[in-house]
Amino acid sequence: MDGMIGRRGALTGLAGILAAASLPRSAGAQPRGTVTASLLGNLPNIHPWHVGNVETAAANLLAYSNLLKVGVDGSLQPDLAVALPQITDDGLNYTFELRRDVRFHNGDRLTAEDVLYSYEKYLSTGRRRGNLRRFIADVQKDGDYVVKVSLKEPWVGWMRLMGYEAAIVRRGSDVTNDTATGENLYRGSRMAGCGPFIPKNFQADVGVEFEAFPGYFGGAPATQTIKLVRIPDAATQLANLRTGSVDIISNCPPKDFAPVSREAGFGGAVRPSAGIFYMPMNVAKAPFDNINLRRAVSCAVDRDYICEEIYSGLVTASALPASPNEFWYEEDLAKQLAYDPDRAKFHLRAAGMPRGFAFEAIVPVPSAYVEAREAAVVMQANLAEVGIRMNIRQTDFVSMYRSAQNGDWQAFPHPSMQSSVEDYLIWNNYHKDGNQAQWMGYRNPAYDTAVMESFRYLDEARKKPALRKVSEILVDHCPALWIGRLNAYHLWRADVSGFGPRYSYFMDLTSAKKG
Amino acid sequence: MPEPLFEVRDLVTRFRSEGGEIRPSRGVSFHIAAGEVLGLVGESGSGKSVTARASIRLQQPESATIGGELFFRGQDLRKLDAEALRGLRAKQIAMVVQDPAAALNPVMTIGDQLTRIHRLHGGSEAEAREAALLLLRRMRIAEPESRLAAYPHQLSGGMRQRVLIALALICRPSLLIADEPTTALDVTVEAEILALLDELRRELGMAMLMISHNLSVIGRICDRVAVMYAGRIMEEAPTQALLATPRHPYTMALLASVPRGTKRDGPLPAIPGEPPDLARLPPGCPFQARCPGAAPQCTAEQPLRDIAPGRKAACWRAEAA
Amino acid sequence: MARFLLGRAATLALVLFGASVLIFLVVRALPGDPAIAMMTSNATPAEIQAMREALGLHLPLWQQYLTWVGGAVTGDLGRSFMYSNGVAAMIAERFPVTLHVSLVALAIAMAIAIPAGVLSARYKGGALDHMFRVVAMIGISMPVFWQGLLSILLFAVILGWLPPGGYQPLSAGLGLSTAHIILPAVALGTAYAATITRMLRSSMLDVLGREHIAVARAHGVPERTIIWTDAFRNALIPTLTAAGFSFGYLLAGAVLTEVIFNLPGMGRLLYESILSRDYPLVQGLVLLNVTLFVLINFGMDALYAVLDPRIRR
Repeated sequence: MDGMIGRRGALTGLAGILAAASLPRSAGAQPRGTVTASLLGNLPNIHPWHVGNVETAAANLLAYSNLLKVGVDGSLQPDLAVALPQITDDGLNYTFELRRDVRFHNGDRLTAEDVLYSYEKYLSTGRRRGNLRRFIADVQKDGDYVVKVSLKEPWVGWMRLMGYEAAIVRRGSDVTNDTATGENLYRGSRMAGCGPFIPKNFQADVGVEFEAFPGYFGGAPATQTIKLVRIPDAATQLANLRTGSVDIISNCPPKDFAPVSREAGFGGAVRPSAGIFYMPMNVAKAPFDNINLRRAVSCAVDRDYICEEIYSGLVTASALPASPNEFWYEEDLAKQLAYDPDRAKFHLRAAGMPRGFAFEAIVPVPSAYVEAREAAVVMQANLAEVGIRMNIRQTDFVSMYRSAQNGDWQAFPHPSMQSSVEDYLIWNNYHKDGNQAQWMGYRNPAYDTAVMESFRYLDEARKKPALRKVSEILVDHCPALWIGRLNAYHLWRADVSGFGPRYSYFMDLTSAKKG
Repeated sequence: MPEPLFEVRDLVTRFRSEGGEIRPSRGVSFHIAAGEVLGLVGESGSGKSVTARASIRLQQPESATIGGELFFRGQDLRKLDAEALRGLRAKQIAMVVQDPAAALNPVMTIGDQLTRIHRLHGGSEAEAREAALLLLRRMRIAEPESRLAAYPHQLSGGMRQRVLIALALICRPSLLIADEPTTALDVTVEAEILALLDELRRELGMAMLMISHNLSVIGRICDRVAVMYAGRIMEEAPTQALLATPRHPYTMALLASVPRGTKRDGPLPAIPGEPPDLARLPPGCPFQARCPGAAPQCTAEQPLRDIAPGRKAACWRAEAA
Repeated sequence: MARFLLGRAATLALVLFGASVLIFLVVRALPGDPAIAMMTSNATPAEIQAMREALGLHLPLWQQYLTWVGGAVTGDLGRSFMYSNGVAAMIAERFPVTLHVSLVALAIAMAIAIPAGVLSARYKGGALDHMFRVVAMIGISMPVFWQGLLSILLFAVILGWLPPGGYQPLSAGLGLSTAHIILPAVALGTAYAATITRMLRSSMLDVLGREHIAVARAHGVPERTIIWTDAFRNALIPTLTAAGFSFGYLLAGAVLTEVIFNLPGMGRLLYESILSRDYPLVQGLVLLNVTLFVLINFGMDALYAVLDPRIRR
């Protein structure tokens, strides 16, 4: 793992040279009608119900559609449904009306029967269905084109997962022997979806090729072929972009993003995403069972420096889970946890440890999004200034989660890319039923109540008071050090249009085209 | 005096080692007439092997430098270019060494090794093979045909030495450097090989530089003997004269150490004291530290000088002895 | 011959048995749980337990081992947890890539190392020797990925002569295939060339100091013949050991090179499979590597016998 770190550091250096190297060339240019995009992480399958990372999500989005989708800015938009659903006042019943012009890849027409079938399979076989299974009580149809979903408890956030992890498929078109380890997962699904593209060749960990589906209900796609290829190194992705062997890259070293996006021949854009870079602290275990020590840590870290120097501004600093550009960001609350060494020392004195204390931070490597180790080193220096000693232990994600589930951890700074802040941060981490709450160790009925209240509304104005309460509690108890919110950023060649970064972080290539 | 076949004047070899500069030969001069056998005798470490090899410009180690003049048939070997030197060696010079197992290429057949030397003079493969067979028979090797296809490791030690001699003689050289050619053999084989070598030498009219630490071997086949110590020649004389009336104290010590009545010696029975460290030699006579008659004069240089007709010694009291 | 082969087969079987037990246990000794790796952090403990059962991880170890080995002897290495495909099928897909790169890299390594090693021994201490020494030091100390990135920068980005990565099989055409393979093969080949050069140089020096070389020189054998016939063939024998091990390492796959050049080879697959605690895949890949190493060793023995008559029976 140490080797990986050294390499990443070196890559960043070389990437600078790459950035200055030359104008783009078209050595490996693709034939017209093909857009090639590179992915950093693994692509173990293209099964719609087994999405596990941003790479599988990007593939899923090309081939499958759902009732709703998440727009570039994170807003919910109708997809297979004609409009956003009717929601009953108790927030428990959702009624969707389906489009009548939708055809599957095999030519069959979409009806409510397919939606029911898909949800039933999805909820029983998916890998990460914790939240949907937790909330969805029942899915019923009312005629061929109306679907009713009833929830056990009100939670508008479930709809956001639809555009990410779920998919509507033609009933019965999936392989019958669909176990968790079925052949179809690997070779790519033969299931008929109704997205704009049809998967053709799939090679796990290498790439997948999609062909346009002319019968797509949103109109035939502009591009005949979309290729996703895996290039597991950010600097190499940039080299591939420069030679023209790919048109769009998912990642590049943070320092290279701004200069390359300004170069002639290239394009690039940044957009706030749902991802976050933060450091949960184990509130159930010393030293972080002491709230003053958690506050001290939070006030001792210079977030602006980390975000500017390590991430070149591609992480937006925030002392709260909310980003400063989001509607539920609370300036006055943020101040309480913001960088202020004097305040950090004050909290240390309040804890009875004016000379500081030591803790261990588990830093995951390799990390897909950010240079977590470099950031951890800056944090280490910040903390040392107020007498707090942060010992870094590096490990991979699987070992890290293992430690977490055994309660054998004190803190771990890491990036997390998520489809929704609500789903992940607010619910999963700290609500008593949240999947990660068990090892986060945080329990607070008042918090749970505030969260459930915020889950009732889709409308921002109605949501805001409840989220204010959520933020107040989080700031007061400080179960994590919030460093900043990740931005989604991509680079592409200038002849690409119809593509940009999205709130949900993973790439939406459905309307990408060249020329 | 007739022009000698081979004359070495003031040969100096030097190379760097961890202990400092080593000079295994420090101004060595000798000459060999055509058909003559000169013995070069001394304890191990006296520099005789390096000197003999350097006299035909074989550097050992390869980093060693060679100084002096090396006349072969009136031609200075040191002035020849690499190709001319090689041509001369191929036609005129050969070498037999102590360890035949190491001296034969382990991955080439006996036949290939013999014929390629023969072919350095031209001629066909068939001729070379014929010559090799003839020579192997002459060396009294049984079943020579099958030996040609054998590899060195398939032969006995004595057999390998015969092959090595055959390798040296196949080009009918006029000078043979024989570097302890029988030391690795047991006594009966040694006698046999020596007799054979001497017989063939006479037949070919070949001159020989015979290096040995064994005075009985030297006594048997050499016409003249040069005694070497610490990179210098201490005494030079016709063989019988030297054995009968040694003039240099070192020669005397060497003779005294040969056990009487046995032909075979092991490592030389002790001459009192240790051989000198070549990197740190005292001024004057190198033997002074071990010499029973050492005197203040010994710290002065002792050049090799004529002390009687045909005799030389490097000791200030050589005449007195 | 039949007896020789039978003996070798028995050795292989024994090594594989030992290796299989070791691999099985070591993989399971890694911290972390494949079920967690598959589900990530959002899953509940009950879901993770269900996944463990689906993967057969709830069974006792001996039972898991017997299932695996029982399949392995019939050529069924099980199914990858992460990819859900047969391990043997995945290896069959990836191995040709690694084999292709390794063979080209080995050829490049030998093409560089043989002249460089021989010449630097021939001209020991000379300018050529010093130059090769410096180049070899750079070759050994410069990480392969760094060399790889520089070569991508030069040949793909700046000059535009070669593609920046990816793999094309020979069936896609010799030219296209070679264009893709050449940069990674050079990056790997030069790294091993450095090691083999140093090895060859020192064994050449050893052989050149031997008595039979002095005898050959005394007899006027031309220097060129001495270097290539007398010295090289003898020096090649120890050098082959280094080359054989290099080839073994190459066949195991080179993670960083495969990442930089985006080659879907064995190294990357092994790396991913370890990260995701994909037990069947790790086991299958390591078992294959062990087998290859043993087979390469057999091949080396056979080569020694050809080169060195002393080893022949």
